[in-house]
Amino acid sequence: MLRVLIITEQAQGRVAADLLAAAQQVAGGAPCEIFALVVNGDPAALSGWVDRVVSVTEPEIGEGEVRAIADLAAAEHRVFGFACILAPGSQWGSMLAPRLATKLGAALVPEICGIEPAEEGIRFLRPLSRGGDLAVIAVSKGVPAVVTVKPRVFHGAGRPGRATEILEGAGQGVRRGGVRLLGRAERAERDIRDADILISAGGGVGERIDALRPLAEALGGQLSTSRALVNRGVAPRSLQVGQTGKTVAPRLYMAMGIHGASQHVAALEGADSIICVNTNAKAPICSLADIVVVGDAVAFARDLLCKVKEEQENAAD
Amino acid sequence: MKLVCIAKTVPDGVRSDTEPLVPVRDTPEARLHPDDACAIGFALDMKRRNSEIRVEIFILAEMPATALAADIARVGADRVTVISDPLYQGSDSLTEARIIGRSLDAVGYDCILAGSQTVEGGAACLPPHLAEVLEINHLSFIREIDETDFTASGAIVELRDETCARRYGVDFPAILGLSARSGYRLPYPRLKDQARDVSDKLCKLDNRDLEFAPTEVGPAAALSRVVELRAGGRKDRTTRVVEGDAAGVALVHDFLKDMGVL
Ligand SMILES: Cc1cc2nc3c(=O)[nH]c(=O)nc-3n(C[C@H](O)[C@H](O)[C@H](O)COP(=O)(O)OP(=O)(O)OC[C@H]3O[C@@H](n4cnc5c(N)ncnc54)[C@H](O)[C@@H]3O)c2cc1C
Repeated sequence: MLRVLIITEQAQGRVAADLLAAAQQVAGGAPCEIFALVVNGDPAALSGWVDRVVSVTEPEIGEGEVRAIADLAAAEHRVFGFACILAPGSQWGSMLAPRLATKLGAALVPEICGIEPAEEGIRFLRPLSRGGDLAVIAVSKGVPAVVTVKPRVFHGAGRPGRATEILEGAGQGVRRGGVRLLGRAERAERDIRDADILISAGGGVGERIDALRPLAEALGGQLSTSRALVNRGVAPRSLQVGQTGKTVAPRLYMAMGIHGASQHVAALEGADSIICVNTNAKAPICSLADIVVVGDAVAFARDLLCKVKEEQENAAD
Repeated sequence: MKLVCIAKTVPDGVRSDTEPLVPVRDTPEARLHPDDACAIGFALDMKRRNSEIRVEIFILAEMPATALAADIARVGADRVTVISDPLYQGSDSLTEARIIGRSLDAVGYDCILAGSQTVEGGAACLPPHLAEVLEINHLSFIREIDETDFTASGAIVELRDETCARRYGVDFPAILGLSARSGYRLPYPRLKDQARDVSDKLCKLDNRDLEFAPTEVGPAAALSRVVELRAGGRKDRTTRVVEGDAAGVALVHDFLKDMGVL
């Protein structure tokens, strides 16, 4: 039977929902056993999601020690022979996966955004460029694949209700030391170049920029602006997107009352999806957008926030 | 103390999606990824502060890189080695790590400096592959290196992601992958140095030196292959236009849900 391992990120206290969804897709419809490796985490959080959790509790394996994690995953692979090992596409996962692939002689496929069943094995889709072109990758027959999963691309249908067995893994014999976490600080001012979601305010929003903040928070995003608001002294330069501001590459860019001057859109090539809200459906930014909402940007932000909260409350009931 | 920097040339016609590439003067041949240039810039900066530091550069090049290598030597590197062989073209990142690993066989080092990102903006896989090949420590995505605490035994570095900054202590030998946003710059050779003969600092390695079997390198050694390319992107997407009413709100809400934002 096909076996798949997911490696959950240390210091991430939640179930990696996108890894779980990707793991289900690797199997297609075929019978498949899904394993998870949890190091210094809560194995019970994966109950019902996977068939087996290998849980290793070893406080000496600190957050930066991906070498130790690679050793633990390799040891499990030697016992269970996984066809595919999935790690998150975070900084941590991107440092871990190549190490593990080297150790196992496995094929590395970084940052996958899709999985397709094929007659011979699995095929992975990965972005080739920020413009959205894709490469379809086939792994040589009989070779295990180590992949990193592009964050928040895969979505599952919910807990599959698997009977989960929790196994205690041993941390002996793994390479330790060498990289120590000394401290961690939440970033007070986050750089818009690192943002995954940007709610960007332009001349059509003007001084009302703070009215967009609750929506940005609800979506887990950040505020950014066009130069119009920087020039008016409404926003600091550090938030300006554009030729004389910052080049950004978010998964979602919401252009709220932004016209789309060439100096602004030059810095948007890396954005995956664009939604624009503008009173003028013919503003140049609209030609780049996945969705154009015709209307007042602040009123729309308020209504969308209400809808998000309403749905969240319904889901909680 | 010995610092080794590893870099790969970026083919002509390829541009970086994130940052402008770094031409070393206006040579039409090889260019460097800004992250790689930044790693070399850091090493040379350390050498300027401490003349006992030796800096060696290894460039894996798919195209002529002599002028690039010479310019890096002119701005202070002690030795610049270009690794190039037609057999190596089309190698995957693990094979490239093995090629560089073998090139370093006889070279001692305390710390290896590299870039963190690929031209497409993804995470560079070569440094962590190489760390495993050499069995040494590794960290990428470094935004800051504590220069006062950078010694032959280790360093203190800072990584940043969307939400937080983390400080790590790293014992050497190790590979440190820098991000161009750390701000270190590879200087241009000064006008008076631009014609300076640096041939004694330049070195070339090919497969006669490294002796890989043809099946161990190039596409033959790759464990995965691209079987299809698909055009995508915003340019091919259809734009939906909606009013800002309840139907518009519902459409955007569903779109965000499909994206996994909600
Ligand atoms: C050398 C140079 C460099 C520049 N660099 C940059 C740069 O880095 N970044 C940058 O952004 N600009 C830059 N600019 C300025 C640029 O040309 C534009 O002037 C600027 O981007 C305009 O900002 P805007 O689209 O937000 O505002 P406006 O041009 O004022 O556009 C406002 C938009 O909002 C719409 N609108 C109005 N009311 C509403 C409402 N209630 N709800 C929704 N929509 C509404 C309007 O239809 C319009 O499309 C640069 C210019 C120069 C010359």
